[in-house]
Amino acid sequence: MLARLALTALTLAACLPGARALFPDEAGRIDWYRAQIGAPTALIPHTHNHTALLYAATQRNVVAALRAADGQLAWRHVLDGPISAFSVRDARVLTQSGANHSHVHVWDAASGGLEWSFAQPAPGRGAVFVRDCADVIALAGDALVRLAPGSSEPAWELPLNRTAAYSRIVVHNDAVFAIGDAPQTRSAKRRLHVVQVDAATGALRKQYDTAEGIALRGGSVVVLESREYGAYMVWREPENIVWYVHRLGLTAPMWELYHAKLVEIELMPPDMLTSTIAELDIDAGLNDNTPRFSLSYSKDGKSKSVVVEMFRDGDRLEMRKVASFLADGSAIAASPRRSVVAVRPTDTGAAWRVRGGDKHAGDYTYARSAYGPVARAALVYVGDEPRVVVQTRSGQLAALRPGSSEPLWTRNEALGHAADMAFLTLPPPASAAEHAAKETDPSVQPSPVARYILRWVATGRALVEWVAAGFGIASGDRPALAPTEGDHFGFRKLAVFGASTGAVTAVSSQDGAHAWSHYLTHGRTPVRIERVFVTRSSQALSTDAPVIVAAGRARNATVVAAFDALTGRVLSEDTLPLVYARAFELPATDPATGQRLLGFAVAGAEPRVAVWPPTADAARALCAHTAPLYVELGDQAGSTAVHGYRVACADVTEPWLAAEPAWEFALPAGETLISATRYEHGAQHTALQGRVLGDRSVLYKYINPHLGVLATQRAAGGIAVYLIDRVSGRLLHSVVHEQAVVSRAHPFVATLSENRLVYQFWRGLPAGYVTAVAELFESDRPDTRNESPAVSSLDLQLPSVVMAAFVAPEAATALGTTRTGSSITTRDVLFGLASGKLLALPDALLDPRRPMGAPTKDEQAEGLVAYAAPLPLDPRRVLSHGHAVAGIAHVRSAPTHLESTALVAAFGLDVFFSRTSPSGLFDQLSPTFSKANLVITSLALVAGCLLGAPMVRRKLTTRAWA
Amino acid sequence: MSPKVYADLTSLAKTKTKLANPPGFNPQSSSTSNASTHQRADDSALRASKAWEIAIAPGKSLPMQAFMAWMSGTSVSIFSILITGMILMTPAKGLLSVQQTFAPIERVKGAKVDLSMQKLVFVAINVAGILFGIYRLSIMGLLPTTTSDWLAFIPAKQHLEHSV
Repeated sequence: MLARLALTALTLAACLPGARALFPDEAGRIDWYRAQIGAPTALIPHTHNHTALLYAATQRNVVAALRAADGQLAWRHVLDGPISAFSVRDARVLTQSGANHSHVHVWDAASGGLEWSFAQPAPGRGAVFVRDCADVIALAGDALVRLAPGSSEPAWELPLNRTAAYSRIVVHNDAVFAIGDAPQTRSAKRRLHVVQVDAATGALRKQYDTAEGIALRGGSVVVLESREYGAYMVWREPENIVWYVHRLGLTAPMWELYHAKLVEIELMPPDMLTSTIAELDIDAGLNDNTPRFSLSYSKDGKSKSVVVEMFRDGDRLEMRKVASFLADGSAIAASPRRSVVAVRPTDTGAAWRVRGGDKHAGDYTYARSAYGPVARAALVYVGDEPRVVVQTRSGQLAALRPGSSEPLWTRNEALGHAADMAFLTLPPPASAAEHAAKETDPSVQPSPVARYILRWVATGRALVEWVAAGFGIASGDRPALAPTEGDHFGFRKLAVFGASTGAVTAVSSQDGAHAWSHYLTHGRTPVRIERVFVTRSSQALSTDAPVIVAAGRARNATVVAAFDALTGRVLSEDTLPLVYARAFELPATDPATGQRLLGFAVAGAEPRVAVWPPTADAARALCAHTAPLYVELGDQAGSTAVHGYRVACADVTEPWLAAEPAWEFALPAGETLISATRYEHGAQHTALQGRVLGDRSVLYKYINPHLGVLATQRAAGGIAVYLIDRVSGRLLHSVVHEQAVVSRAHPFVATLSENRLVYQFWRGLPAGYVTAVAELFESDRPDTRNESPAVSSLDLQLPSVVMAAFVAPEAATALGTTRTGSSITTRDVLFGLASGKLLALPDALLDPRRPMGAPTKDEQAEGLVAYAAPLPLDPRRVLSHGHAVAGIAHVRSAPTHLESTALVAAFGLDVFFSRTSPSGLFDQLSPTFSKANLVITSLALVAGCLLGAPMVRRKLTTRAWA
Repeated sequence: MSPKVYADLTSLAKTKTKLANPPGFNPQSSSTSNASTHQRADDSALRASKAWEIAIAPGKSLPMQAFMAWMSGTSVSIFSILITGMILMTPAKGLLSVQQTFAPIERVKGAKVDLSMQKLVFVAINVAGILFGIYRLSIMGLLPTTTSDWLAFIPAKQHLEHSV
């Protein structure tokens, strides 16, 4: 009896940790969202209605306003292409953007609302406001136009007839100057060409060449605008110490100032030869009358930057020093006040100084290995307090103030450049007893049984302590969980992003909490990271840390860095002297480190696969893998043929293996590749090898992990989709969509999972976007399959393909499929929509076997619903709820320890994480489940047993006596 | 030693008192050998007849069971499962207790009657009942007779090559 009681008490006690798993503030919070802007290319401070704002144009084609006080977004717009012009004037923001065309947008600076816009059918080269009115002068392609709000036609348009590569426009009073690099010829040196146009009529007044030997870009010339005194160009003659100041439009004399005194005082002639010159008032609206620029030189370990402003003294144009800074690598920025700020790198991070008007100084303590050196700075005033915003090369923004080395706020904009992301499953939290056992005996292996027993021991101790403490109620303080601590359900994973800015960033998939960062460089160049891999997964209480590997390009090399996934410590950094075509995981582990091997396929005359870690032993370990390994090359956009190679394993003495040609898949004449799709890691896994029909027969799935999907653009119009086997190069199926149109605005997107391919394309109006689904079976006859337990792609049978097309709800920029632990749960197809929604459509809606008419009894039994062309945009299926996740380029999913639940991530520009249960929470208690009732029932049963036992005993005795 | 609380009646047996027949009783009429043979034959026929009734009794309930099965439908629900269970259990119990069922009439006071045919019919009808129950299970989809029932046990195919 006592044993039973003890067992019951222990069982109840074992429930306690489970009941503690969720904290009140976590209830219902299953997702997080972060709006990104990308790494800024220009930061313009501006105060509007007493609110200090920082306007940013970024590499991700975003124009945004950040509140200087807290770093939050006041507003943001994702533009349609690279930003070629950006300025702020009179509570308006001007942008010019576009790739093959250009759009001029004028935004309200406070609200971000669009005031007006204008489109031009040529790439933008610059746009500026006309002073004291809302008009804009814009240069697109070869046409200079004056645009006015409220008018759909330009006030005037002037073709410049390609006399130069214009890239700068200056407006002063009634004149517009277009400045560009004049075409170089054998007889004519490099020089600048200036066109002067009447601002009111657009009439060409004058054009001339000037600044011989100078190009607009390259730090050798600045263009300064003074509201009162006119517009000037300042440059230094190449290989000379002579400085020229040219007033735009004035050709006699060509230069107004010569041998500026100040320049001679501040820079000695030998230093001057290495100096560069840069504009500080990147937006002319910042400083109307005394435009500033900086002179910098670095020589023999010494460096100096001088900030100079230009002014007029009577008839004479003068220059005077505003401030000077002694340091190399400084980022200098001006503010609307006279002050300028310089941020220079130090051993502990960066130091900043404000000079000119105010005098402030401070430090910014941060790990340069995590975020890189300072790239850009901005000075903005909140009231009268300066805020220095520092941008690092990895893309992090930090706001600093005097007297504190800790930033007021930070924004990690590297996530906006994420090219790849890997989920790392974190080890479940180990109890104190487990840790104690591990410390006592490090050889304790974390077997599930051992861990279970240890957990019981820990629970028993906790129960005793709780009783000893007088049944006290635990305080409501939530223990802080580090981002690298896992949970029992597998919801808390580490999401490691690799960005094209060289940043590797690890955040918690649960709440986005930052775990660690690293800035990866090759020399001083940031590595353009393209892939992130988990090469060693985590295990509870294991001494081998999980390893994350980031791989990317830098000039003519490939950089591969391995990190301890829990701490961010760099374990190794290898530079491979190769330019890879594809990077992938290899089906073998390194005998030395126990890590998964990585492969880098190199195209060329002698194609090969370089192995990482770069050791011959690693390459030999791959060769010990008995299955022949195939790799294909030439599957990038624009290709006309895809080639397959078989990796050769003879005489391995180098950390690479030769690739022998195995097959060629040449596209039909006139077709070029748009995209290639393969299975993502684990997407081909399936719990059931067939599909059960209504009559209980089975259509067997065609599961081929070597399946590849090639989408091509046809010269005759439309697209073709080919399903090929990537081992044999055989064509398995093809389909042509003659009316499809694929372009940058209407991308082709696809996802492959199990035996189903889903892809989407634009079919023109009225059909709109079409989602096509192809399901592959071994045979079109039920209960027919190839019984062989082992199959070779070289003698593979063709699949039977069932296809259907649906009208997609919206344009999709990325597709994905949910993944669960055992693939028992049905899979949702995830649509990353251009409108920023992440939509999850269930398997059943995208079933190509949906009957055209009313479903028969068997079809009903199969779970089929009648075909309907439109796919619904059901708000309940939008995982992103009200968030507009901008620029979704990747949709990823990872399984949790609960079969019903999958983690989902969408990233590209913004980052969004959530979790979803395509088949419902079948393995979790419903929210209405009463744990109290369960406990009461259990206790009542125990009490019933205790009360009933004597009665039963008495009855048995009586019966024995009868 | 248990207390002697009862009367010892053994002495009564020793008296051997011959009691007179009751008035009107003719011992001749009940003890002739011909009459005895005739009566035994009648008894056997009676028991055989009774055994046939027992043998076909399960068959009489079959139409009712079929009607109940039809009423409960072929969907898998608590009622159809209960009724199918009953349809299966009743004949199964009958089959397990064939000897007990016929024992009271098969051997009376040492006289055994051959009821093999009845038993055979009894078994046949019960087997038919079980077959009907199995048919019910089959149409309810509860018998693992199709390929889909064994689908979960089919292992994934091994692919002889590897592609990356």
